[in-house]
Formats: sequence, C-alpha cells, structure tokens
Amino acid sequence: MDKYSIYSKTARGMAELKTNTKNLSREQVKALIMVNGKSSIRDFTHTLSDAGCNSFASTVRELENLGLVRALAPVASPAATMRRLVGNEDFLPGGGGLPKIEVTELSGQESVQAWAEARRGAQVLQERGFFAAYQVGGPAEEGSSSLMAGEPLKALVVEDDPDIIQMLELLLSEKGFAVQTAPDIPAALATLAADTRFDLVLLDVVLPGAVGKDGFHILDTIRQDPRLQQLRVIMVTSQVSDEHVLRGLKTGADGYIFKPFKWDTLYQCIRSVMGE
Amino acid sequence: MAMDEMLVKLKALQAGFRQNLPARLAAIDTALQDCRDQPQWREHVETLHRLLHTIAGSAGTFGYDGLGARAREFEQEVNAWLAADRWSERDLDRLALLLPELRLFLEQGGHAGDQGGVDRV
Repeated sequence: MDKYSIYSKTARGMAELKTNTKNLSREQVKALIMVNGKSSIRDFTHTLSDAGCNSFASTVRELENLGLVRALAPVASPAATMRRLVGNEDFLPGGGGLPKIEVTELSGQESVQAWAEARRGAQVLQERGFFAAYQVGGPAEEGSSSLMAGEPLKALVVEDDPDIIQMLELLLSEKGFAVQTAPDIPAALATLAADTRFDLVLLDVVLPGAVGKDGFHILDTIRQDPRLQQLRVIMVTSQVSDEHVLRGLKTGADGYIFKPFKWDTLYQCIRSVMGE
Repeated sequence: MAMDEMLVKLKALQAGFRQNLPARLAAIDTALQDCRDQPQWREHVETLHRLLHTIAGSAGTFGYDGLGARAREFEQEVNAWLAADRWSERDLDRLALLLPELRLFLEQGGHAGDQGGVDRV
C-alpha cells in the first residue's frame, strides 16, 4: 500500500455506513467515514506516529478486502512526480521527438467518470496548495472602481465567524481598506441599502438570520440593484461543490475563494477583481 | 502597519481562536444533544450543520488543518442527512461516538501537526 494512495468508499461501503455497521469494528467504522476520495493515507496520518500510521493503513486494507473502499490511482509524492517528469525524455525538449498520444472515444458514462477523476485530481492539487481559488469574473475595467488617489476603498465583510471577521478586518485595513462588517443576512442587506458606496464585498454563503436564504440571496440582491452595479463581490466560503461555484458564477460573483483560505490567495483575487 | 506589528496582531488572533475552540466544540456537543433529544426537529440538525461548517472553514484558516478537515467530514455527513431530509437515532448515536475526536486535536497540543495560521496568512 502506497501512503499516497487515495481511497474512496465503494457503493457497498456507502450502503454499509447508511444501514449497518454492526459487523465492523469501531476503528473500521472510523476509517470508513474518513475515507473521502480526496485524501491519501498520508494526509490522514501525517499527525500520527509510525505505529498509528501503520494501524490506519492496515484498517483501510481490511476495508478494501471487504469491498467497502477502493484505491484510486495512486498519487505520487510531489518529489517523485518531479523525478518522473524530469526523467522522462518525452517531456524534455529535443528528447526524442513528439510523445505518442492515444485518443480514445469515451462513452457517456466513461466521460462522466473521467470528469469525476479530473475533478478529484484538481481537488488533490488544491489540497496540496497548488491552487485554492476560482476567480470566475474578469478584472474590473480600468477606472471603474470608485478609488481615487488617497481615498480608501470601502469593503464590506459579510461573515458570521467572529474570528474570521477579525482576521479579515485586520488584513484588509492593513491594505488600506475602510472595513465594515455584517454578521448575518439582515445586517448585510440593511448595510447595503443604507450605503451604496462600497467597492468590495467579501461574502460568505452559509449565514444566519433568514430561513431558507444564504449569501447567494445577498449576491442576487446586489446584482438586481442598479446602484450597486460596480460593486465587486468575492464569495469566501466553505461551500466548495461544483453546484455552489456554478451558482456563484451564474448569480454574478466576481471571484470565489475556498475556505480555509490563504491571505495571499485572497488578496491576489481582490487585486485582480478590483482591476489593480 | 509594520510587519512585526501585523504578525503580533495575527498571533493574537490565532491565540484568540485557540482560546475560543473549547466553547465552539461545546456548542457543537450541545447542538448534537439537542438533535438526539428531539431527532424530528430539522432546525437542530441545521444548527449542528452550521456549527460544523463554520469550524471547518475557520480552523484551517487559522492553521488547524487536521481539525478543520475532520470537522468538514462530519459536516458533509450531516449535510447528506439534510439533503435527503432523513437521519436516524443511529446516525446521531454514531456521530456522538465520533465527535469527541475533534477535541483530541486540542488535547494533542492544539495544532495536531498543523503548521500554524500565521504562516498561512
């Protein structure tokens, strides 16, 4: 078993979790829940001792033998990947001509599966820090921002986690933004109704205060209001499914940043959507 | 603001997050207990989901990657219940068995192998 192997639950594993786990040990149940199709053995066990790592790997192997999980294509360590790429002449200029490429027409079902594998690969890259954001909007047109020389940009942070609010307030202020915050949906809507001169909104999706509504409702309200046409909105959220990202795109978000986020990534996104 | 001053403030925010973690975990415990007491109330499950969702997002941002990742898995499980509009007492019992794992990340020294939030920002 390669410690970089990624395992996913099989249909049987999913059914086992939903219906009946009495034949499994507690460790097996825990491991079955943890296996998520995204994280490798190493990801799960990097905090554990060698013994703990081996124990977890052994439990996953038991689950594999029971048909409850299956290994996806192993993901090599970054160092191993580099060695392989550099060592393969096909990837090097002048290294023996063009590589052979086989083209296979896929059935509909195979296409879906290939897409899912690609998506999973992208998630692995994301987890390894290669990218952490989708910027779905183009940069603002030059001069469309209300920023004038010496005048601070105004940012509204719509976020219900007080620790994240404080962090964003601090970091945005340090970059020269005048920052206001709203901890829930009614407060955000009231703030935007009272003051339309914001330049930027950092908007969470899961927010309290309005049953059945979320940050996309606020985004939609912004996009329907002619007074807020120039307002740039970046979703900063843990809602990372394709469905949510597409919803943000359709509703008119300028950027989409996944939590947990790195400030560098978020600030790069801010600069981009603000046209800087 | 000087970089040193900024780092000091970020360190203070991270320490504040760490200090608030036991209260956050206690709120999750309470929400789960509410679910077990009144399993037919969707509002309780929604509250549990929101609390798990929030900590999943913020823990990693402050450098507690392991805690955030585990909370994310619990959140996704509860989210699946909500999507199907179905959960059982057995589901809740199982989650009650596993949820104390979140506290282990604190008992094992806080970071549980994480790299620290200030470096992240």
